[in-house]
Amino acid sequence: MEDEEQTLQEKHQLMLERLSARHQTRLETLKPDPSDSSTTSAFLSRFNDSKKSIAAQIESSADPSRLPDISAAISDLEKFVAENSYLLPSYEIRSSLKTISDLKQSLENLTSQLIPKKKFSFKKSKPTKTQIETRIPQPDTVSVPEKTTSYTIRDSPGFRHKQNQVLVQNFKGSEIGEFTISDLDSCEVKLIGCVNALFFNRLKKCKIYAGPVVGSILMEEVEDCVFVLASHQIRIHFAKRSDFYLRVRSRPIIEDSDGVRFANYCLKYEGIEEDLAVAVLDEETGNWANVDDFKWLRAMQSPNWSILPEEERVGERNSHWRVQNFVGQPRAIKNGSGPGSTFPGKFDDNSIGITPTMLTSTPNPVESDPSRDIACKAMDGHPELATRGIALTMPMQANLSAPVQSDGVLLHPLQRPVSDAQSTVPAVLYDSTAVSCGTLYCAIGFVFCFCFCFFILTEKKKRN
Amino acid sequence: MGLLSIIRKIKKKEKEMRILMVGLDNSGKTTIVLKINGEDTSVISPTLGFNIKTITYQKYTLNIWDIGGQRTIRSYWRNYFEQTDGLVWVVDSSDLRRLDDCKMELDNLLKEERLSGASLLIFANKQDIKGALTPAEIAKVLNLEAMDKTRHWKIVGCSAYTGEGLLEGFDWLVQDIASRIYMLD
Repeated sequence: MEDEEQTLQEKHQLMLERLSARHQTRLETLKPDPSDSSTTSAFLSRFNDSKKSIAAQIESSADPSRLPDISAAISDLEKFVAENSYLLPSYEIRSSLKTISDLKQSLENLTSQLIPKKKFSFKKSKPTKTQIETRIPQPDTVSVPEKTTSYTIRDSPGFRHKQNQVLVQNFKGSEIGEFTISDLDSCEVKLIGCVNALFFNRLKKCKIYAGPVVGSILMEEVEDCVFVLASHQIRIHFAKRSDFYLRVRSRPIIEDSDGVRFANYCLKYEGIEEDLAVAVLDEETGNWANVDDFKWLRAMQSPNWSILPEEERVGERNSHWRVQNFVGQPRAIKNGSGPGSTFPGKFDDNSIGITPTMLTSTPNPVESDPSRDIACKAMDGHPELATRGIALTMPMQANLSAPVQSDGVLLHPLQRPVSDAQSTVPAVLYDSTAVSCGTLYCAIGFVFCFCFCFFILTEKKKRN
Repeated sequence: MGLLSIIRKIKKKEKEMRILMVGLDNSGKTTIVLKINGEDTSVISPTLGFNIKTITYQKYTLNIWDIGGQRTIRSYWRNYFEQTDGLVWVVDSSDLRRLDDCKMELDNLLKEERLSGASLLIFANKQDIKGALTPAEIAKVLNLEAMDKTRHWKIVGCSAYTGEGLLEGFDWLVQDIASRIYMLD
């Protein structure tokens, strides 16, 4: 009995010893705790110091060359956090990582502020600029690319920095591969013949008519413009309130654009069929309506673009307008505003030659027809077209319905004066098939309505 | 990433190379890939997303990832950096105005750690266009000489339209990658 008591006592003693030993080891393991918190605070103070210095550098720095230093300092700080991460409480790790990402963000902002100023010297040198400005009336409005020995970048041929002008360029027989049109305001640009690549940049209230492009078209920052283009690829960036009459072999794309509308290609000038065939653009692919919007990656129709309603397309603006402008008749100039008014003065100098004799000998297709003058005016302000386009079809109906019915060949009478002019002048013309169809349908509609009403009336009478 | 792991598995078995094609929009990346693969290049829409082409080239299999270059989707480029053996940067040599954009994007790309081992081939594309900058001029504009010394790089003038220069570029790229990766066999 005592034995049992004894062993129990011993066991109890052992247990106590074990417990105290356990307690001891626990105390020992707890010991590093105070030191741990001291490393945490040491870390925090060091972290805060370098954070402050980096933030100060970012705030004060206006010198792009110091940016790499700041970025290096941030990555050092990041490394420091990573090294100490195993002994830091998770909250501290999180908060310091957050601080680092904030610093990175502000550095990025700073970089984006500073770096754009430090651009390449792409601009043409000043003397050439003035030279081109003075040369405007000359047939060669294209700045010739200057090949320099060093890497100061030459300018590609193109039209730049113009206002209220009509600019014409014929690529036939020229050696131009790429063509740039930039910084134009209220201009009208006509490009005839094939070219490899076209670049458009910063255009306002311009009308651009271009022959086929074998490669691609790239445009940025266009506003209130009308484009008539044919190309293998078309990319449209930052476009606002502009209309595009396109023929494209692939799908056109828009990015960061809104209020852009699309219709099919409708340009005519002498020899355009051959040019289109050379550029393999003679077939209508229908891709002008398959626009991809990179800012709208959903199955639904993008709100940024739409198909230009038939009645608003320039096709129904009558084709003579173009001829007027090309022939340079005083009347047309009176009616046409802005771009047109500067045209005749420059005309003789243009590479597309029109001799003065032609000016006088060409019959005036306009004077006899008052309705065309209305059309002429409507052409000026592109944004107004939406409202005027509908009104326009009415006076034209009278003109068109007759040739359509009697001839079978659509628009033949209308195009005749045009082709007269074409024999000497590569006039840019619109295809007006759309108009005649529209008016024809209108007429048919009216007739049906009338018949229907008549029918109902007679029915009523019968019943009475 | 199911697709990636599958690719990795296959890669272990065969002599595969993963090649990433990037560059600004309108530089001709898709056209280059299709041309080198002998496909029709007459109808190519701007790439909305990416294309993958697997091409057998010499004794290697190239997985070419052709990533769309529009501004909106450039931020997704980094999703494709992993496991890249060769980087092809395509420049539109006729687009003088955007060369600074081009340099900026390339610089950003080269900072990327995941691409640090990749061989860099720069295609100065559209050499067929009159007025295009020469490869030497492009190299100067992009300041390629100032690049990290450890990087293997080469600039090659080419025309995706005629096909000129494409094979020369890919020959170099494949040889360079092979000498780094498959040195042992």
